Amino acid sequence: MYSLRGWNPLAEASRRWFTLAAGVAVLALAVPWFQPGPYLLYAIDILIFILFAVSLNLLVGQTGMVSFGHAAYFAIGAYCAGILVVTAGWSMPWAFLAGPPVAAFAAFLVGLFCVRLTHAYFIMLTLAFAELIHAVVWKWREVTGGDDGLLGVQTMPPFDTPLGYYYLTLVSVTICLILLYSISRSPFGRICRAIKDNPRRVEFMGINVARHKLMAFVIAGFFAGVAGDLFVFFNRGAFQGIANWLTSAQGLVMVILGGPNYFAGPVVGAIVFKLLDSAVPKFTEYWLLVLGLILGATVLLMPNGIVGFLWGRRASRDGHG
Amino acid sequence: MDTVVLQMVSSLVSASILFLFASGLTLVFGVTRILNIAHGTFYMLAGFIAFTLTQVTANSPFKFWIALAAAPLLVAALAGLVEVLLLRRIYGRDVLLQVLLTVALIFVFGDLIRLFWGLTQKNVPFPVQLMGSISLDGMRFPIYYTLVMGTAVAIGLAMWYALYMTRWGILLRAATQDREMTSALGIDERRLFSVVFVVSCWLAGMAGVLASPTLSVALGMDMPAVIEGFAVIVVGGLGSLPGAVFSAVLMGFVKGFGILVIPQFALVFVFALMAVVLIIRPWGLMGKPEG
Repeated sequence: MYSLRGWNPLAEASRRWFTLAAGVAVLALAVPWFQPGPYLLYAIDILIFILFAVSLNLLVGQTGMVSFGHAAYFAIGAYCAGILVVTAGWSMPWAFLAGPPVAAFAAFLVGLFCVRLTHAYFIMLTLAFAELIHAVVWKWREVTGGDDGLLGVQTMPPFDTPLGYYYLTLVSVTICLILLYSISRSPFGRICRAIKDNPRRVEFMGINVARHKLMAFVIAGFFAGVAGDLFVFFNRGAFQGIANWLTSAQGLVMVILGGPNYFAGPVVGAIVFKLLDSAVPKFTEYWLLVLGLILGATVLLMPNGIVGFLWGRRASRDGHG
Repeated sequence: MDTVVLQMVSSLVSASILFLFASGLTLVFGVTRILNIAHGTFYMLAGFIAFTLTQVTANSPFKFWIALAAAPLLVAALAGLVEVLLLRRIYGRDVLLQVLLTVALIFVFGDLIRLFWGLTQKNVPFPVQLMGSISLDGMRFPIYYTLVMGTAVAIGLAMWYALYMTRWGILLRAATQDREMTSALGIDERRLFSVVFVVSCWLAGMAGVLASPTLSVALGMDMPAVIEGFAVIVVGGLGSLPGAVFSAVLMGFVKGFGILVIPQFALVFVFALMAVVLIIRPWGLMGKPEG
């Protein structure tokens, strides 16, 4: 259908971005020396949700599919790996590898129903299926632990210390982000962007729109599964709340906060969201009220997010930059 | 046999609530193309307001009726404010922005409800005039159920009359079909949108107050309601009022009898039905295919 020849993702990334990314990487590697202790745990949490938000934005920002059920694949990745360790007695590496494919398969099954639908139907259906998965996680006590959560998900050395787990997370998330960036810049990613702008025209060009949307949905589900995977071993367990609609909504908040039209948008959005999430509750118990006001203001006043706000002044918008 | 009659009646009661809730959702979507995820929040808010009203007027024999009349109106007034100040700015914009603005409403109103009413469950009493029970085929039902079903039927008929017999209804149906054309004909779109949103939230409020004596009013009741409402309008067809009626009854029965088969997972049947409908008719049983 299209050729991959002559495609080099690194050549497409501008030098400026590459330098910036390298700088961030050095900084991230050095975090443990500056800030050991509790901040390291914060950093792990932030990294996990960066991956979650970027995987969601492959759908939202790139393909124009507003999924309101991304938490489901995060939770399936988490619970799958967790159950394999706790109940089936697998060791961490194998369980870790099993989580994302299962999440991707679940996304495939749900995607079969959803991808042909237009905006509003797609939102309702992704939300409905996610709530169904949440109900299963919540009510199927024998397998998932129900309300008590899934406890005792053991890690193994050298990942059982905060420092070891930080590096595992950093390396995994970095690899996933590079892959997601390459995907967003590949011919496939360009077709996704074209689908967002004008699906009918893409169809006229002889490209199967539904199949590409399904592929995007499965890929996003896979990477959400990786994030869930990292989450379950980080917390040594999982609880039903992660499959909740609120987790899906948080993902969307991260995307809009950072800027859905930029690859770096959800990265910035996830960092800002997580910082607010840990700072605001120290001042008020009404964190959702504050979040709602921030979200409303972002939607009405800054719909291109923080990155769009900063970047938009310097360069004209060229989609994912 | 007894359980069948029992489940039929309770299915019809839940169908009534579902219809009131989902018809508002589908009306707003049909006209403004906004998927109001905060619809359940207005439903929940009406329940809390009804609780407070019945507390304030605790000595009056008509306290429930006062709540039933006033709470949906208060919710509708609030909705009017929300429409004029916020929603109006995002009509025709990106779906992501529309959805997240309604999510922002869920967050803000959810926390405000927690601020005013706290986390405990609230119970709204049955109206004293309808305290007793009637027996049908040897089974006994609260008389109150007839009020729920009667109100749903009355409002359904009123909506049918308004939509198909009045000038306002013609405009509204025209706007559902082709918004650009209606505004080109000089119809004031903004007023139409405001009225539809206010009426829709009034309907959510009616559903909330009528449901409140049969369940505890509590935080977190909004999202399950919205998801069931989505299921109803997906099956019925987005923007279709007859579809909402038919689908609400269908869903009521699927829920009512699903509980008999797997008590924990009645939701599964609702989703199974939705999945089947989507495979056969992706635009809903009584909707029209887009494009």
